[in-house]
Amino acid sequence: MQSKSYSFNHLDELVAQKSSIVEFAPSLLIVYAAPSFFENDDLYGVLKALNVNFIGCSTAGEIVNKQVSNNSISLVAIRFETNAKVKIYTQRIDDMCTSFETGVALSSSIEKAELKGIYLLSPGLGVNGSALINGLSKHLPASIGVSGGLAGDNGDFNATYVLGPEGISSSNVVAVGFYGEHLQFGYGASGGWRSFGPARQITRAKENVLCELDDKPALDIYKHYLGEYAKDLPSIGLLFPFEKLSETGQPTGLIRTILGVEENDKTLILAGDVSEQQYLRLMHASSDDLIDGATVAVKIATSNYSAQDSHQLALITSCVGRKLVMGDRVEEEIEEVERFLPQDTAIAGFYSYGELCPFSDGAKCELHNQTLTIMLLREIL
Amino acid sequence: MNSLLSRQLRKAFNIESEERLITWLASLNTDNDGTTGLSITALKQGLALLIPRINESYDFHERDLKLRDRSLRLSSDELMSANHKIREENKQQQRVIETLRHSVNQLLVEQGKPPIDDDFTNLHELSSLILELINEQKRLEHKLKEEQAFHQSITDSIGEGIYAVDGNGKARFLNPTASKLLGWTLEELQQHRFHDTVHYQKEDGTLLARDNSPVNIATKKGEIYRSYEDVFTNKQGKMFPISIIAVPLLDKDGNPSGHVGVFNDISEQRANARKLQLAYEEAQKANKAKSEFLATVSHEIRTPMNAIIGLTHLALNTQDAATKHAYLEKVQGSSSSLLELINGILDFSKVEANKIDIVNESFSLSKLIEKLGPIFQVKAREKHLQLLFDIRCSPNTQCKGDSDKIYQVLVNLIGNAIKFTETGYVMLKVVRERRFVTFEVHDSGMGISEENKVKLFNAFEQADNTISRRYGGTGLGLTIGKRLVELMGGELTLESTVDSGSIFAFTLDLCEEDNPKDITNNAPLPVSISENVLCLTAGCEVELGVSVLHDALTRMGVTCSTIDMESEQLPQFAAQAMAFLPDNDRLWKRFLNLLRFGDFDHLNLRTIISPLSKLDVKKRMGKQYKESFNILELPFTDSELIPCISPSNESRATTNEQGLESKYWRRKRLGGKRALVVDDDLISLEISQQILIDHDMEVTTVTNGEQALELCQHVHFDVVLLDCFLPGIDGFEVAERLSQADHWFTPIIALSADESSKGRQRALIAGMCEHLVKPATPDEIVHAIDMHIHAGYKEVSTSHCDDPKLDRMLQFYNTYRQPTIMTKLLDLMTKEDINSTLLDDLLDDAIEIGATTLALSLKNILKGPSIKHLTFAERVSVMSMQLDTTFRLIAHSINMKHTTHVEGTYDKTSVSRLIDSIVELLKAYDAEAINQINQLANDMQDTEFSHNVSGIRQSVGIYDFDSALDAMLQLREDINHE
Repeated sequence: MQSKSYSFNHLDELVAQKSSIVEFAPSLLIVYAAPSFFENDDLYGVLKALNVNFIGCSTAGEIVNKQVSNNSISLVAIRFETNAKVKIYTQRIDDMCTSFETGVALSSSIEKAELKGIYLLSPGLGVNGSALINGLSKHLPASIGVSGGLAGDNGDFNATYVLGPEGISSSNVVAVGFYGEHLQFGYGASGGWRSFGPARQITRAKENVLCELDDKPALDIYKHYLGEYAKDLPSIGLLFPFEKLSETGQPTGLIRTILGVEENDKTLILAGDVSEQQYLRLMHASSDDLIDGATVAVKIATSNYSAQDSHQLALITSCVGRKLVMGDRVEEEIEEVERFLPQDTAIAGFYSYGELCPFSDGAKCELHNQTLTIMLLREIL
Repeated sequence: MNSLLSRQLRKAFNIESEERLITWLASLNTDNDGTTGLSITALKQGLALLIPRINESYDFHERDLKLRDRSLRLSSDELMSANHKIREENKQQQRVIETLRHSVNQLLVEQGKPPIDDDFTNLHELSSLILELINEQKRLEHKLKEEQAFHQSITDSIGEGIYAVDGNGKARFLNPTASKLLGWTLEELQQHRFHDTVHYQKEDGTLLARDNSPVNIATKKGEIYRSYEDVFTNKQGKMFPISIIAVPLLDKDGNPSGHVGVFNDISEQRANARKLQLAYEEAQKANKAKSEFLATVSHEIRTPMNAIIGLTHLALNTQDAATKHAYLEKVQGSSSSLLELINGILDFSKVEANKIDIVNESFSLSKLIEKLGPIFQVKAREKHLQLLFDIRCSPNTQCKGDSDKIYQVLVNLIGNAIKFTETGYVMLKVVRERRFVTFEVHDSGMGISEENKVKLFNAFEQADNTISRRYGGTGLGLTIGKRLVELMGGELTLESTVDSGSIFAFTLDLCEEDNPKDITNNAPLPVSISENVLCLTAGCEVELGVSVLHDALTRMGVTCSTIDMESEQLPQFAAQAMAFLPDNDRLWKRFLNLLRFGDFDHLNLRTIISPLSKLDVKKRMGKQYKESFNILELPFTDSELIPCISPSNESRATTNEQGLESKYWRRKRLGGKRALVVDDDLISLEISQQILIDHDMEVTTVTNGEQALELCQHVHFDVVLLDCFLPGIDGFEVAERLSQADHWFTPIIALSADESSKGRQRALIAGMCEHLVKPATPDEIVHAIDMHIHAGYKEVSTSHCDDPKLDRMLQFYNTYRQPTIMTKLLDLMTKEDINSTLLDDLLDDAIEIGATTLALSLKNILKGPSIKHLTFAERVSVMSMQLDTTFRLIAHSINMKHTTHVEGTYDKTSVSRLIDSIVELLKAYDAEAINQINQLANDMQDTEFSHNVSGIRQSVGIYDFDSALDAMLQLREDINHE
């Protein structure tokens, strides 16, 4: 397998490289770009003209190699050297309530023979990522890893876009199925957050709205812990997400970011579902902790790789929250990932509104918050 | 090196790898200048980058510390409070465990299991254990409840009252029966001491102190108490005797504390016991009375029996015919008194054995009463008593009931009254009030003392045992009478004062309540009776009779004024007068003198009433007797009284003697005809038989239908008198079978107690030709027979008869048996013209020849609407039938005259002598009379008087010497008259 990544600040630059890309004869093109590039069909037109398989989405930051940039286009071209191939599936999502059904519909449309993995891009707004993933797993064998993420728009939360063969859309979910016996995947995910304080049981919650912990208003408890930092709510919420624990109090590794607070009914709006009877524990992190998290993720993803020599592609989905926490230092987590990957590994990815990935190989795909996830792909000959 | 610091350094000084960084750092110590490959500027820039990063790290660490510290503090606080809570909870749990263990132990002990020890602290195990124990407890409770319910159901269903009291004497339990008997509920009674509420009285009503209560005393001693002497008082305050068994209850130390009592209301048993005692005493008394009765009876039986045996022995042993005859006569006398006695005993045993059926049939009250007169007249006359009937109700009163039984009771009462009254009167008073008729028999006899009244109605007891010695009799009559009255729904009562008389009375529900409309219709008033009647009387002996007469007349709307002819001035004029004379020679003499001197001429004296017989009156009056006098014997009844005061009686009185329907002509027509009388009632049978024999008919009697049918197959009868209600085959069926037989032409006359038109119809349908209602008068019976016995017409061939009476009848026959007359009569029917002279002429002629029935029906037509129920046409039809009958009777009378066989002759002198002798014997109740009467019958065989003699024979045959004597006197009169 050969892969090649590009970074353009303007569409013209991409157009200029058109022949080089076509010459590469990619099996699949993945495009991560700032939302502005999706506001017209130019990008779509250009890619279409290349006459190759392509998908893409708007982001809150594009990753290519060791760099993280905004307002650019990142492009990664993959060319299989075996009989491996991709198929692209598109499924429209009508509203957040039908997320599960959309996932189910999508999974049933996917051809399962020789399917090795799925890379999925979903709109970042108007979709319940947890439900979507649960729906998608419905008709997929457990061995098939799913990764990808929810599109972003630089943290504006206005409009996100997904790009596929059918064009640019704010409501299409696009999935790429990877087929071929020679394909090999590696997955890893980690946040780097530290939990503190006692685990508290969710005594009242509905979907992503957390109402009560240990029979007390969730907002009161949250503020109590934050103390003087509570005055910066809700933005400070990004720095103090919740760790989600199972009904028996075991860590799940899932993190739930606080997106907003409702002072009136003292509830917290989370970036993902929680269920009653589960436990939550407060978390906090520093940029350095998050960077350490990235190191953990890449170590997990590469743990099953024996042959380090063959070429591989690393697709990273990291959380917009991490970018906000780390600010200028956000590239350091990518550098950490790069440091643990072989020299010629192509790296691409984006800062998302929700990361999709198993914690490790063979694990179930989850919707993450505040996490850096990695999907490694290569061909073993 | 710390990875963070390493990264910071690498970033700050742009060193790519960690190895190079280590190398570079190492070179910092070894090289003083320039060997690191970094310029000063680069170094400075690197430091400038590094320091803020390190600062930032410190800031974050500080923040992290702060947060962790707070978190720790919060956790610590929470932990502390959690610990506190746990401690509290632990304490609580300990307490709970303690309580649980305690409960468990309690339950275990209760269930008789060993308790658990103190180190058994596992809450869960404790809980399960307690749950187990509770379940066990529940099971036990359930079982207990079931058992309780079972016991409850037992105590509930026990018919005896059960109560329990505790040591304080408070009620703790009552079963439903106890509640019912006491009237208290347990809740009410729990407030009070059982003793003070229920058991505080002794049988005599005095208070029973709690400490003296034998129940309490016994049960406190731990003894079982049994008694039939205690009484309880119920909520209403009513005391009742109880039987009780009280068992002491023991407390846990085994000391008596309260008791359980089982009791029953024994009022009924007590009452029964009392009743038994009374019944026993009664039975003892009855037994004693029976013994006395038996003694009496055996005395009564033995006396004549001894006489019979002794006399027969004597008779057999004597050779002298006259002496033998005298003995046998006495035997006969004794036998007849023995028969009377035995009849009485049989009657009584019938009543005693309840073998008497009370029938409910229509009957005529006046006919019933009229039957009584002749029975007692003679006896009363003999004793010089006045027999009076004060009948205060209409003669037409129709009743429903058992006339025979009423008759029997009245016969007994009047018989007794006559028997036990020496002087004065015996009066039957009958008063009707709505549906009820009261019969009273008054007498002026010896009276009955209070103490004897009680015994009076007892069988076998007479008021005074000595009485039976004096008067004879068994004393059964009253008992029988009383029983009969009770069976008819009445009560025989007695009012009596010693030495001034007694009144026996009973009231029966016999009548339909009168419809006010009917009352006027029922008025018995004849057409024309005098409005004023003067009653001449003398002396105070007949005072009561006069007042009865006065009342009777007043009831008829006749004004009656009474004058004592001895002491008062006779009036100048009276429309009609009656004389009411006592059986007193002096007064009679005076009356006859006045009569002779014409003192009564202007008073139109027409009727003489006295206790004497007609014969005696005639005798006393001698030559002054006129045919026009009506002689009334006591007791007179309304129906006898009415003809006396009605103007038409004159002609009737004269014509009837030798008229068409007189006994004379009837005898001629009916003599020798054979009659069959069928009746199961022997009295009726006897009466009918006598009536027919009196008319020279040959009578055969049977008492049931089977016999009648059997007899009729072999023997020819000219007429059958048939009671409709017979045992077995009833009269209707007998009539039907007879009348449907070949060659049966014999008229059958029904005699029935059923007065209804239905009964009449049924009888006619069954083939009977006439329906008479019981009790029928002799005249009715004979007339019915006379009417029907002469089948077909016998045409009269002669136009003249030597006998003026007969000639007159012949004239009548010839006059009215013209087709034109018949047409005229039919015409009348359609025109309803009663003003025709034809009717008046017919009436006059009918009266003249003595065709009384025809005359009566003619009067009915002429009187018009005063007769109820019959339309004019019906009345004419009845009249035509009677006219037809009259023709037939005339024809038969005339033919009879022609065919009369030569009557036997007799020696008048010897017969008269024989009759005188018989009269004397009869007066003496000497049985020799029977022999002599037989002799007489022989002598007078085939004479016109043979029937009279046979009647007399019948009477003496049943030892009715009184009737025989009457008839004999009549016979003597008739013969002398001849």
